[in-house]
Amino acid sequence: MYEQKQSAQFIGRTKEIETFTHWLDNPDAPWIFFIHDAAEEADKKGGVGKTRLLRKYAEIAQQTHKQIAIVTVDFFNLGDRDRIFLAERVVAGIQQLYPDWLPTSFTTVIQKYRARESGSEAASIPVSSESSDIKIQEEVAAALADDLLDLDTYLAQERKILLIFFDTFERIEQNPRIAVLRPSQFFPDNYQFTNMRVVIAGRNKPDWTQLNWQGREQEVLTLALEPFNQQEMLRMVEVESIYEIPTHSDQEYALYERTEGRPIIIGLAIDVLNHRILTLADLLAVSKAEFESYLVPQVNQIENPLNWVILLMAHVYHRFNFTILEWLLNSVQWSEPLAPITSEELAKALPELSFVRRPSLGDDFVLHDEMRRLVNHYCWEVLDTDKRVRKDISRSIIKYYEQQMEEKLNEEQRQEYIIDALYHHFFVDLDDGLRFFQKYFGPAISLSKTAFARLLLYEGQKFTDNMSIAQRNGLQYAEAALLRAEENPASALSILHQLEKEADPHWFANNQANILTEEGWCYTQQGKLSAALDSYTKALEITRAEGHELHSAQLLRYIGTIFRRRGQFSTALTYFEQSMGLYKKLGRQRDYSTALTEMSIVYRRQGKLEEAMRWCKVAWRIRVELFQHGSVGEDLVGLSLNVLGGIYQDAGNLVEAEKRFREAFDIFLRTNYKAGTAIIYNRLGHIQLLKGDLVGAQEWFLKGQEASREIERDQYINSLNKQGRIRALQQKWSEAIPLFEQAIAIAQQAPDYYQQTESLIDLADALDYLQQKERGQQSLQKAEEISIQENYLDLRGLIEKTRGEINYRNGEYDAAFHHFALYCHHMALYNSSEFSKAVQMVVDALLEVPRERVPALAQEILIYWTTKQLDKSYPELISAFEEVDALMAI
Amino acid sequence: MEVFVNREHELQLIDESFNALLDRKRLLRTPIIEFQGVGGIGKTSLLKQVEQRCQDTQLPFIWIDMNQGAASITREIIKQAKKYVPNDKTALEHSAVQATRVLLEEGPVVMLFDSVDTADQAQLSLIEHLLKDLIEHGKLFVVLASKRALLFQQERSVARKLTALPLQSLDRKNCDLYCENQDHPIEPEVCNLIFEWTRGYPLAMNVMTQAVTSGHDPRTEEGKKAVLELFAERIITQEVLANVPSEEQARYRAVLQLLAVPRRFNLPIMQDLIETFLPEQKRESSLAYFSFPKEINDATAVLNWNMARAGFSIDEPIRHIFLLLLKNEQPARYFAIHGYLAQTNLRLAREFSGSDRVRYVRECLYHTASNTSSPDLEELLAQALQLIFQDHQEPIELFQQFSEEFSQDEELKEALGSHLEVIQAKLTEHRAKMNSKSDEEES
Repeated sequence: MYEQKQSAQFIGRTKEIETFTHWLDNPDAPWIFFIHDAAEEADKKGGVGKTRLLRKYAEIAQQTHKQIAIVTVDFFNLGDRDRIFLAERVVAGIQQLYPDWLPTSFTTVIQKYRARESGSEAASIPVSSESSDIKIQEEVAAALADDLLDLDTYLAQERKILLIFFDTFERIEQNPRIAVLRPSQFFPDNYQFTNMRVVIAGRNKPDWTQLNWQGREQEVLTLALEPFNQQEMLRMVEVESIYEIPTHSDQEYALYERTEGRPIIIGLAIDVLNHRILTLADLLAVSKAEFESYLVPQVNQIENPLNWVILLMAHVYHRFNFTILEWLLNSVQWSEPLAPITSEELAKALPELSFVRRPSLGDDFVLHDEMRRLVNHYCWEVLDTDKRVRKDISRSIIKYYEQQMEEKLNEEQRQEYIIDALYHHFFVDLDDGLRFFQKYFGPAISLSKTAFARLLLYEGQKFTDNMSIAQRNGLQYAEAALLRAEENPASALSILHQLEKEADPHWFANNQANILTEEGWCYTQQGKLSAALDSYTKALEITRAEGHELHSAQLLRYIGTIFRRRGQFSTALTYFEQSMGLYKKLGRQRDYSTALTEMSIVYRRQGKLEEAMRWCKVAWRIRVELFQHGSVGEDLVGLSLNVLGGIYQDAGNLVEAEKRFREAFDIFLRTNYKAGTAIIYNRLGHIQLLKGDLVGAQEWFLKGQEASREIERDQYINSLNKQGRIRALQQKWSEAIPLFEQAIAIAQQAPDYYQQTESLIDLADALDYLQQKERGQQSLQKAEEISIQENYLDLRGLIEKTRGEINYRNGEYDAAFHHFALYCHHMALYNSSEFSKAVQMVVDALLEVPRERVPALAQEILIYWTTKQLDKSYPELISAFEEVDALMAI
Repeated sequence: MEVFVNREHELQLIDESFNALLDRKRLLRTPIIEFQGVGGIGKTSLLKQVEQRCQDTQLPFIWIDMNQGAASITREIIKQAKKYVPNDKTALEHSAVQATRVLLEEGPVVMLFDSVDTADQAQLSLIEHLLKDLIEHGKLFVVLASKRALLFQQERSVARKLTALPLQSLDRKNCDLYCENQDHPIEPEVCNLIFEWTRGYPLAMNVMTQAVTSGHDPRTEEGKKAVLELFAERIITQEVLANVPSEEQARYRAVLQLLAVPRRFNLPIMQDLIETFLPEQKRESSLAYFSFPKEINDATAVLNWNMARAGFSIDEPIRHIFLLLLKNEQPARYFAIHGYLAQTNLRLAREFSGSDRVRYVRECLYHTASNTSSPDLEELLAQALQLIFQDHQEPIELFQQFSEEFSQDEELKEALGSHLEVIQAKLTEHRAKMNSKSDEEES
């Protein structure tokens, strides 16, 4: 939290202090206390005294509660917007409460992360090329979760509180997830620490319609902070100014009317009076309408050089300190740099001004956020009409950061400097700003450094008013990409659709393929494969026409993946082959290996296990070589081994499969790839399942669930579903149902339509066993709707199979075999391996029905098959039934 | 003999203070008064008026000129205090505070501090602490004179008791009174010239009346030249540039003279003016101009941010002297700068809207009218005015704002001279049009 000049005594706010103390003392109170400006108008917000009030709260909490640790965070500060840094602060706070608690795992991961950032990690330790915010936060979150489990023993014994203050929340309110460690968690993150209370201060009240706050009214106690009342204003004047204003005087009313009780404006008025720039009479002679515009430029009259240091602070943004001041002074030949005031005197004089803030740590000074706006608007715009001086300042600051960036910096510092410099690049020249923006934004998105990308975008968006439509479109497109990377595809699509309608025609023509590709990614995230396919196909037409081979290769691969997911394997292979050809031509070995792996997966799903094995091994070999040359991380090698294990598993070679999975597991352990380890736990569970060891399988799936919690949603859903299936196999239906329901809820939230549908089918089956038939039908109905919409052939087959089995169990054989025919139909279209299994299953079922029913049921199926003209393409079913018929004709 | 006129308000305040000092039952309402204004505006004369009242009422007083070191201020206070209590040397020599306290035990005391703006931090701190220790006494009356406002930030109790009185130039009436009160009568025609040239700036009036009484007739070329030379020497060199090293004086004079032409300027206008008319003073970048106003003000104390004009400006009395000198010494340059500023403000008026436009149009009119050598004067005036008439965003409000500001801008109206009537007629015509349009809309 930034410090402002402190009055000898805190002024007013009796009611707000009472509310806070009651909240803190009440164990049943909501755990979040949210203070916001009472004013609704944007230009009346800010400067109402939230920061000062927060400091007072912290002071009170410290005095009244012995068992409390306080952490203060100010989102005004770029560093505080870093989720890892925040987690460290919280851990430090918890340690303060429980000195005996040692967050060993957390410390180890953080040390490794910091070492990696500073580049000091030994070369022998493999560093994944997939290093990203997400992966890092996964690791940190998992480590912290481990450590917090140990803390439970302490918590049970004592009642201690960790109180966190978040100031300037408006800086992150659009995307509060940047300050959250665990992907499933909303802001504020409680880090699974139960004894935590949070005070948030922001300009705006919580937006209950925003995803972060939806349905959380009960968790939050809000307080609308009004400006000072007249009595409080008078007290402030009495304490801080050289004037005394009598109570109930005309002067009191006039000053209150003009300042509207806003502490920042009262403070500025006091500064102006104390510096004898204006007398009180002169000040009050200004009309209410002109008061702010008259008062703020009085800053120009504050004695030299304080006045121009204030101006510099307003422009040199986000940080200002004496090093930067000296840099600016040294960048030109000043005749008398700062005479007659020294740095020490300036350091003393600046905080005396009501609107100057300084952090609790470090030597930075900043103008109060609201004052910065006022100074820029009312002072700079008049003083430097064509911005030439500010542009010179910005050029100098850019050079400063360029020089700083040459120093050895950790990632956090580097990002902060880039953000600081970006503002000035934009200020000097919008095109230059956009170039600088793209230089860092693209890689940030690729590496999923979403928090950094969000900060970059935030800077760019400050300049949109001055941008051309095309420049604005560039930023809108970037925002869409960021939203997609933040896994918010719906918002991303909304922007992309808006661009399609309203973008600058020339810009749109140049970027249409990118927009369509981005749309495709968003749809894929949503599981809307048809829409994704449509977008990718249109994009491909453009990239092919324009001769963009790499982009075309990527699109071909994405399209192939969609066909694979739908089970249209031969079509998928066509696309993968084309994609692979282009990668080969372009020498893109890594991408080439990915396409090979994709093809291998297709062959496996087709049951062509030998081909699958060959392709996968080639891809694995390429990845090993790339890893040995340092071109990729070892994770990729591990992922190849995982695919290879799956192929062995399908081939029935469970020993070899397990061996490959364990090799992959070792790699993932080495690289600390938590999501990878979760995948392998589930794989090993599946092996045990195949071996019939339900207890062993359950253990692995449970491990998979723990390892993937808050890290890898796909695997988390998968492990829940598999545990449900184990219960189903054990006929523990009532235990299976909650597991399926949990899997469905998480998949729906993701959304992950495929896994949602899988669990809906399993749930329906379980419900039927418990005689909850109507719910079971509803579940299947929902599953069918999704699988038709997304054209999941295999799942449509499974739905029919389940329906058939339900009918079969009830002795409704006609209906059962009708569904079995549909099941075979879908699986025939899906792949030969699954079709063969379907035929076998139906034949087995047929052999279980009373003998006299067999011919009629078999005939019904054969009629269906022939009517649908499936007999020529898929004669296996006809052959099997004829064979059964012949064999039974005794 | 120095003639003292005007300053009724200031003298009234002093008299009230003396009455309170001399009456045990009354409280001193203004224990610290500060006279503030440019050199030569009459601050020291006012201090002398206070001194005279002390002598008339036999109140002990201490006069300190701040052009001394901190230690000598203490010595001087003790030394002057001793004059009034010669028998109590021990207590007096202890400290300045102690010495003054001894005096205050005997009755009211007046302290006069001149040229406080020249004091360094240590001296200011000394005064601040002295006043903090003594001012609660109730019978100490302190008068300060300074070019800059005094803050006394360290001691709010002192700051709260300070009454600042900024001093302005004399008005026409008092200027006439000043001429009338001279030992040697001054002809009305010459008196007119004195007001026209000095604009009531006391130091300039003194210099000019002295020149007149010593035989220089400003109506003649020779007399005019002599007066202007005296202005340059006594006001510019000896007053404004008094603290500037001699080798720097020519540079500062040139810059001030240039910057005196605009009534207001911001950083880009200052840079453009210097680079166009004083290229030898050009700085390496726009940023290098950022501290230039501070640099000039530190050296001369005449360049400040002018709130009313929303820009930097040279203090009015000094600006007029510079303008007078430039117009007479280098008329072509004088007109060229005005012409340049007229064009600059016209361009800016086109670029900006609202209040900014009003401001630029006024300045454009001022500089256009001042550039009497321009053949396009009338056309330029019309162009500038048209920008106000044509503003579509807030036509009524903007026009009203312009009309109001124009009616109060005496300097502009004077500069417009014979064109004033034309401009006023156009404003009246436009107002009538707007009123009739508004009536139509209402009906």
